[in-house]
Amino acid sequence: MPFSTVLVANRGEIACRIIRTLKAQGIASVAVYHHEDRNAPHVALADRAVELTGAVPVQAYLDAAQIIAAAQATGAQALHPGYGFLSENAGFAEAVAAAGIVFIGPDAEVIRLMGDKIRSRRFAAEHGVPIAPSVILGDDLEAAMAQARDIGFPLLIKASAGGGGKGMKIVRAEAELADSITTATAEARRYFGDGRVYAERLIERPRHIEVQVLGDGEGRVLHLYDRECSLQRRYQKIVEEAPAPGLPEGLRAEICAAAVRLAGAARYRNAGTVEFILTPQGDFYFLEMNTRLQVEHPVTELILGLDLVALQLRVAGGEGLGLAQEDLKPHGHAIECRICAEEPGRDFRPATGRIGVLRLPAGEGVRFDGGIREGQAVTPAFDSMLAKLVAFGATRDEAAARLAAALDQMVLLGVPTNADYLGRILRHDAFLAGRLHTGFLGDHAGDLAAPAPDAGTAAAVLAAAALAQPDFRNVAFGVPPLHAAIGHWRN
Amino acid sequence: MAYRFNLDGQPVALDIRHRVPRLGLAIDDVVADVTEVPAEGAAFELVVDGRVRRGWRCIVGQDIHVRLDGRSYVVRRTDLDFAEGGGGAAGNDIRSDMPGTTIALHVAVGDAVEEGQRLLTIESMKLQMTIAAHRAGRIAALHVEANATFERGAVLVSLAPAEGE
Amino acid sequence: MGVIRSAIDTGSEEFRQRYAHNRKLVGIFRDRQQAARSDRPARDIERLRKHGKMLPRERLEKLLDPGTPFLELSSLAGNMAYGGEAPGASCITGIGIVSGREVMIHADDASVKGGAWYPLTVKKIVRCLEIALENRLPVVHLCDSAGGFLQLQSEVFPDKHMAGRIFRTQSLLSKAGVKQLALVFGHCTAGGAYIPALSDYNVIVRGTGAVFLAGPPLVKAATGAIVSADDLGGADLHTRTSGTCDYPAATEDEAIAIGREIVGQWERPRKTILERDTPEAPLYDPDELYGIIPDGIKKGYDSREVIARLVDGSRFHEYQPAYGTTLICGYANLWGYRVGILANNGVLFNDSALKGAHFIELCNQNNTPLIFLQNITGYMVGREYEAAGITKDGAKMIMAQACSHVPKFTVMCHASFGAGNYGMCGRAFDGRFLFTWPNHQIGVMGGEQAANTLLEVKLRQLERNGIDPSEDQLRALREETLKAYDDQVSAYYSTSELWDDGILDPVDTRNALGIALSASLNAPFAEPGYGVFRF
Repeated sequence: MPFSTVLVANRGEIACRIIRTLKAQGIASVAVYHHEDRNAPHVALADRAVELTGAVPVQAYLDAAQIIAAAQATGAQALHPGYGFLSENAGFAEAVAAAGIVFIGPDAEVIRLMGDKIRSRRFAAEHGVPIAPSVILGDDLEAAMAQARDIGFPLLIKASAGGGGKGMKIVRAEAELADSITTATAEARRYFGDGRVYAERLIERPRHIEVQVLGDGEGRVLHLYDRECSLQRRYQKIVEEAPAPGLPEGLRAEICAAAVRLAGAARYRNAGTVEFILTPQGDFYFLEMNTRLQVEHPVTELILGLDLVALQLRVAGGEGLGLAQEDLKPHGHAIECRICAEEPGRDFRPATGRIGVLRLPAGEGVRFDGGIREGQAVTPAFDSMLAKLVAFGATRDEAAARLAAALDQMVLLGVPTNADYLGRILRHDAFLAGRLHTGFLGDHAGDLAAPAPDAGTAAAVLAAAALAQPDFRNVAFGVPPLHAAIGHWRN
Repeated sequence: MAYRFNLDGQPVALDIRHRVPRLGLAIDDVVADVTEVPAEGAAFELVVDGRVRRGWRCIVGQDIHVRLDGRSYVVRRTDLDFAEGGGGAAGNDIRSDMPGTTIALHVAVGDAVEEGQRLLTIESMKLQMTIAAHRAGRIAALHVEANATFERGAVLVSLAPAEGE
Repeated sequence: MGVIRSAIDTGSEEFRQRYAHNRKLVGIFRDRQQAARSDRPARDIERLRKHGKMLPRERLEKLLDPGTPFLELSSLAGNMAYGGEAPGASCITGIGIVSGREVMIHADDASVKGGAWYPLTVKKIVRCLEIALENRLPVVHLCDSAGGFLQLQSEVFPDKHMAGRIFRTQSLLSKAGVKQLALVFGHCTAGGAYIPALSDYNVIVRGTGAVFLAGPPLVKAATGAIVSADDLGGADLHTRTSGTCDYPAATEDEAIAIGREIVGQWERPRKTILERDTPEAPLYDPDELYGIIPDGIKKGYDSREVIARLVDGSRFHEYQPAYGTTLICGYANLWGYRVGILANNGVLFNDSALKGAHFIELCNQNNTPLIFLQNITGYMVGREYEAAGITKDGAKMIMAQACSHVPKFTVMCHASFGAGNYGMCGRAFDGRFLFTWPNHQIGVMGGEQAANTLLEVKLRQLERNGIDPSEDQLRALREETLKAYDDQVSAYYSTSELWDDGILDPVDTRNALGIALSASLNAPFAEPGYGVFRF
């Protein structure tokens, strides 16, 4: 292994997960952190930790210069960006490389290419990867409207430089078109500093299927099979699984081949994910490529018995893939759910608090990827995802049952989370039947809402809550025995 | 007196009806017999109407988080929610406890402010300090300008009367 | 301890008659109590509501811990005074539980004449503070009073046990370390202003609470200045500027919540340790008391039957069961506490007086609190008894009782005439608490006897004036005299004048005594010792 020290430019569960592999490989780990994270688990877990400053905590983790300086100061030969923050920032990848440090990811050029929706789609189309009917809208509104009309309704207007649903508009009829183009352009300019937008055919009830790829940068690319990520709220995934259920094997092979074709054409290096949407009719279209380790990578690891971070390190260290496609034999089924500090009953509003009790679930095939500890404050400073809970099973039903049981068993108290909501998804008939699409959570909102507790349970919960309060305990138990025995009495 | 709580946002009245032979808690007038069994740390064990209930709980701020039978609940005590926040500061006027000079005004007349929001920075006896809103409201008047001096007890800011006053 | 074997036949005609009679008396008592508590002119209630004020009993219920008892004292004080204008003497007093602590509560009643203090209001407040001091009970004052009732100022202001006594006792309470909290809901005017000022802690409600020596009208008269009550002595003035009040509260609810928190941080009393067993309900139903208490003042009953319906398990260890049998003495548990009981079973003779004195001494030696159940027509009279020293034997009993250092409690069960009242710890002997049953009569002698004596005096007056009354005149005079005397000997007159701490429905006696006993243990027992017994 060419690296003796690697800096992890991230925080939370992913930083902890990367450090675990570094430890397993005997590589020294360097964590970076903002003051607010000084007691966070990733700092405790790493061999060394460097404090970053920033007016707001997020800024610290986005400060390329400070992070590179930290890597240099600690003698790190490589830097793992995790996901989010600077992981898909081409300029950062360049700066890291320029500092003589290996950026564990693809070349800046590839990041740049895949980071541009319009260019990446064009690239995909050029290499025979299907893309949804779409067109980049020109600056002239009349002309843009005509272009959009040709795609046909319903359609989506999206920011070229965007992501995460920002600046995205659904247009169902001609009458909404002009307004939607104008607003989307304005929002795109505001959010991304780039006013270019494009129109795309809206696919109703699509599935979100993605393919994990691994490339050596020399044009050799493996696919690590597919993942299903259709269950989303606010355009963000919350339940992912591998393999995608009920996918005809021919179609699965076709999708994986398309992903390999795309990554191969880009001479992709490192782990990446090619995302597709799949129509109910079985057509699939390229959506985007994520040039980094994906949040949901554990489900792939579990069905293949691999450590993706270890593979990333190997590739980045120039040791090649070390695997052939035929070595990859998936077996069983894995499901992950993202545990977020939020209130599903209030439109998934992010929640804050302090983790007062944390009891991790245990059990056959259960994996908990977390970066949280008891006593930790959950603030709006960072993403609301606290941890991931993953379960493996011989079958999908077994994985779902194990994951649901693990969610029941887990105790994470002190901040509202979606854990119970996730449990209801995993037990829902439509989920178990594999009838998944991106509108699933909305369609089943009624079934998935928390049922009112029965009277006995409500009484127990209220009693437990009331008895946690010293003043209530005093009144319940502090009354002199004689008066307690007499009870309510008036003369 | 009766206690008021919100259970996952639903208001519930809770009352102690009796203590002998067991604690009788009336929840919206339905009485449940409760016995507490000693438990370690955040765990709790209750016998409610003869049924054993084991779970976990913790308090974060005003919320009590309870986990029972694989489900988490947020319970909030509401009978101690008062417009003016307990026995502390009250009224519409915000005064200075000492004479001094205003260093900076952070709000303007008409601004909506949250409880605890910074309104002014003042300096008194070589010490700078922040004057914060003692309750949420709207700024009705600023009685000082920047770099103005004022006496002890001077009204610096007035909030518009809270709704319902 | 053996169970008392009751001889009562609940199916007997006598039982049924007595039961009906006493239920009727209790019904009258409850009606009068209900009227005193809640009959108020609609406009007075509206006025309070308009100001966002609660009625005093609403405040009280919010202040008290849920599911706990409240022993109200003297609920019918003043019921036969001022033409009924001051129900309950315009205030509420009693012992309750706040944040787990036993406290004495004094609440002004602004639904009566703005909560103005009548002479009996002052007497009732003074009595409640005396109880607080003697039993070391912290006090919560719920203040809302317009001040002294000016028309009767000579009966409110100047004397030793008038308004000044309230403030003296408040000061002594504080000195003794007995905490006081005042919640100022309304005005505390003139002397009333000293209640929050002399309380160790106080809370004032913004907008309605005010504390001042003179209210706006008096200030205007004195100085010509026109000033609002809030400006003159409101929450902001007193919590920001004068420091007279500690905590401002936005609402009455908030004031109560702050008050509960304050009480909740008070140290718990270090109670006097008393033998205590697990409490047991009486074996015999206390409801049977109605069928035992006689339906006429001249009719008697066996006091053991009453004891059997008050004490734990109806168990009673009788002392000297064969000697001095007109005074029943013995030990029992009340709510688990070991007590000594003295109950009359007829007129007091030499032997019963000596037995009583000896039993009182035993209880003092053993630190056992005493309960007196009065149904006494006096010590035996006549030359034979005087010769045997009935007066000096009665004096022994009085000496032993008066000098007792253990807490004493008295229940006026049926009759209390003559010197028997003294020996059996009447009001003058500073028992910790004294309660009266609705059927009870009290006087220097029995009603008929007194009426005859008074009639004799009047007839002699008429004779001196040369008048010879007709039969009709004689009867009218006789009835009038008897009626006047009856009114004065009734429980209602007693309680109106605060000669007791309130009338009790007999079935409430056990709880009332339990609460009183528990309260008395907050204070250490006094030093034992007696004066000179005449042998």
